[in-house]
Amino acid sequence: MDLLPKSAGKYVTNHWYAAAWSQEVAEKPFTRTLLDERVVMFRDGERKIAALLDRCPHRLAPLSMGECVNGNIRCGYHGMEFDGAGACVNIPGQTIIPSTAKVRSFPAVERYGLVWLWMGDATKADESLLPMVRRYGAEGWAVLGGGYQRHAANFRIEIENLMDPAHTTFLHKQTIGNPAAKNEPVQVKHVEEHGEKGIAAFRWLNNTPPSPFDRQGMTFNEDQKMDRAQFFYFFLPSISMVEIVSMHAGQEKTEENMDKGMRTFSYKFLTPESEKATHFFWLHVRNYRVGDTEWEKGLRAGLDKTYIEDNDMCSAIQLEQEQTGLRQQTGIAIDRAPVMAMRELERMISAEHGVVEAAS
Amino acid sequence: MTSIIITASIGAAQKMEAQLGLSLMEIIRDAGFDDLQALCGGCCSCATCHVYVEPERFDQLPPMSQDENDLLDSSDHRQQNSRLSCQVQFTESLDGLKLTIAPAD
Repeated sequence: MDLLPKSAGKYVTNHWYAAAWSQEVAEKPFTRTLLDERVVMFRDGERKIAALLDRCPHRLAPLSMGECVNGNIRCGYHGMEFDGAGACVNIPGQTIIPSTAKVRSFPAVERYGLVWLWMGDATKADESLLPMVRRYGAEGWAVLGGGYQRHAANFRIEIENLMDPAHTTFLHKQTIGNPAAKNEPVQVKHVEEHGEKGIAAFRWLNNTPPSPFDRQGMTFNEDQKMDRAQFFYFFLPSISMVEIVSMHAGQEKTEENMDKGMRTFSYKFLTPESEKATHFFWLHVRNYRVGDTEWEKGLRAGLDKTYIEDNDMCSAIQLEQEQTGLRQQTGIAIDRAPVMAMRELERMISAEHGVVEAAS
Repeated sequence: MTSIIITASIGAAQKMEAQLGLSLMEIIRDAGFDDLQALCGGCCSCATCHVYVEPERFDQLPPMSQDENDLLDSSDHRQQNSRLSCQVQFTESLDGLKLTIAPAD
């Protein structure tokens, strides 16, 4: 299957990408590579996030090897100081500052406890384009944030994995897998929420007995049945969100009724590090066991373990793809949503960079 | 003998024998047209069996499912007369149908 990128660019750059958890950027310069660019983040004089290309324009020393001074970053080689906008404000031993002494800066915003960077054309950065996290900060909902793993796989492999409910039965049999779900068909639809375009793969399992998990969050009369659903969303170009709903059977599936049941919004913000690795930031929002910190510890450990299982598989696939130059030699029914996601992604990358014409 | 007329990306239209009851995808693949990848073998999940149907006879084909419609939407080469050939069963009424294999995505 020809799912290999044909775009002139590798990534969508005109987009807000999760770059760090806010607490990661404190008193010291913090560096991370995003979309092949090594970026250094620090806090400026107003404690706002600044993000610069991690390279001093003088001898190309990584600025992250320097230190933060008065809201600026000082190169660890000759002490040149740059402000949050990347302008040089001090060169020890001289008064002239060359106009070439400047560093590229990236628009940066903090929201949902994360630092978001705009990796493309800075003139197009618009905070209204930040992703929306459902129920974040709403009363009666708990947020479990701070999740981070580095996965050694191209973000496309990660997206294909997250758009594929069918793998949970097999890959996650130690964690979230449910053998009963393996034969349930998955439906796919195009979605658009708050201007974010994407695809959803989903299935409802109606009128089923409560699961052990349901019993942890709700109470039941004898013989009471559940309607439950899983929605696997992909919002272009880099966000996965799994929504899980368990509600007493027979109710109309309105937002309000679903909120009265147990509901989870599990986000993964997938920021490419390079073509071979992905930053996997996860954030979990729920309306059950709110305030139960002990239970939450177990939840965090379980989620981390599940995502490690994902990385084990995705990184192994990455190596096979590199060694063979192939992506896929056959297709199966569960590919529908991943195929649609990949096509939409390539279309978005091509729209930004233009398409490479195939040699004929 | 029933038949369909297939045009690939290179070469002239070719009349090929078409067995009733097979899908158009199976007929094209069995006739040896490599342009048609048909990776998933007919489960409507990969959209690599995309064809253009002669517009005059497009309405003779059975209606398209939502899944097929969504997958076709993900192709950059969709036209008014696009179908996934694995989703169309060949019947006598389609005898002599002209098809063109769409470019790969």
